[in-house]
Amino acid sequence: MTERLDRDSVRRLYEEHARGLIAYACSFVTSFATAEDILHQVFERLLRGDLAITAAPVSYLYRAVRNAALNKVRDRAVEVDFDEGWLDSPVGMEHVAVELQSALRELPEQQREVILLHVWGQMSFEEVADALEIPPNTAASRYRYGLSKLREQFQVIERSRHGQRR
Amino acid sequence: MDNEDREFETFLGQFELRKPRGLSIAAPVEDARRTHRWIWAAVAAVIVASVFSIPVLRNFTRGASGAIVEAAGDSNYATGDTIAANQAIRSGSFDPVMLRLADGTRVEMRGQSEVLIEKANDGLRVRLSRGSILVSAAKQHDGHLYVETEDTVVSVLGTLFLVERTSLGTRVGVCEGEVEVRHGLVLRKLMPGQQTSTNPSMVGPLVDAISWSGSAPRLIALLQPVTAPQQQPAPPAPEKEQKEAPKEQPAPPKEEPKSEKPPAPAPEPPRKKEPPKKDEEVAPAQNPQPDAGANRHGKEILDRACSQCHVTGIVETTRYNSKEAYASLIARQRQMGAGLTDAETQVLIDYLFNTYGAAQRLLK
Repeated sequence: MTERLDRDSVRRLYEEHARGLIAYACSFVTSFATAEDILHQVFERLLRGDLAITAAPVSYLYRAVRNAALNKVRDRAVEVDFDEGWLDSPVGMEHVAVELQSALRELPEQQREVILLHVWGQMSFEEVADALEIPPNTAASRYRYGLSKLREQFQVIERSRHGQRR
Repeated sequence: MDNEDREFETFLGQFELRKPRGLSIAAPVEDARRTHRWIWAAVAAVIVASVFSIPVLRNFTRGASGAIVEAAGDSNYATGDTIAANQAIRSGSFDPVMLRLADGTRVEMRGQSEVLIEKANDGLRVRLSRGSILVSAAKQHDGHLYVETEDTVVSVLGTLFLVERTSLGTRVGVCEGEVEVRHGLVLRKLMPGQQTSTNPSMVGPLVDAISWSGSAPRLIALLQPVTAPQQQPAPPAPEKEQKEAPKEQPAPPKEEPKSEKPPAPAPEPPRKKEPPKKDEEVAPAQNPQPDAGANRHGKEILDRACSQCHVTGIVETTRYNSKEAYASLIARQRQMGAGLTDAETQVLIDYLFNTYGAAQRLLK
């Protein structure tokens, strides 16, 4: 059964899930502005009725964001994108944020999206599992492996940068 | 998860995801709303520019995004020449060339420099291929002005600033106003007297970098309020601090550094002097103020060790609640190569906490 949402419902969904959804969008693109555009496109289509939620709204929204992001990535060749990071860093640690985002891009997509949702989307493993339609143990397992790999990759990038400075 | 992963997880928590803008659902929107808004804004800007800038546009034979030569120097142009957009503009071997853009912005090109003027989606773009330019930006009412090199984008916020492009990289320095500089994923805002570069070896005194300009005396005078604190006689440093790390002492601040190290950016030093006095009057017991010598030493360390990689003016916005937080921050910088001894580290921690810490903010 399809469900067309009224404006208030869409607004509530946005307020409740925007943080996780944009974290998820950031796992696909390098620009925060692009991730915002993706998020807003999905919700604008919801408002227009171009998208109709057929089942659990949370997982539906994440699938919609994923599809929109992949379309955006495919079409990126025609866009001029001044890459801007999607992380706010403590002062003096901007380079670290850059390295961190570079390291995240090196991760397999499945691990990257779980890390982004759990750490920066502030979602529990159960919520991540619901959004991505995977078992909670799978979410936790991807997170553990991804975190270790991220840490190693980050250290490699740091060492490389440190070596360049010298 | 092992301990290393747990620590790394804690480390990741220092970084926050940027917050998305709110969703506007007051009226139905189109898929290309964002694009259409920019198109209409651009159209409106052109109309406004046409109405209020006729005396300027009248001088352009083609397009509104080219340039007029106001001073040709030893280039192949003549004063009064109009150069269309998207054409490479080259200065001569020695003399500066002065250009005036359609929006009133003036671009002074050093000898052996090359630029190209083009329309941006929301204004004008000056592409600097090589050499050095000084940009005196007209007030941007309806659009934006950008200066780009191969690796850097400068967004103009109403300023007078330098952009230099060599085989080593790009340097940007501000004489008046402020700019935003984007390099890759890093975005910085520069205030007067501040500079940044993609290669630390390019950084040097701004007064030297602009000496080629026909307006050099005026520009140097603009920089004087920023560099003046360095010219003031330094208060005598406590002997104890000098003994602790005599080899690490930076050059006396009253001299312009001759090395490649950048001058200390201090955009608002006169105003900075007032709050500490107020702090002392308000709550001397709660937050005992360090002596002036320790403060000066801490600032010297900050300027020397930290400015190699980034602008130090941003430290003013760091408001940690504890010295431990500052210690962690500095330890991180040392891991990334910041040249600090253990003694200097402690001085810097104390300086940052006492000057910029959250408790200080509450007193101001």
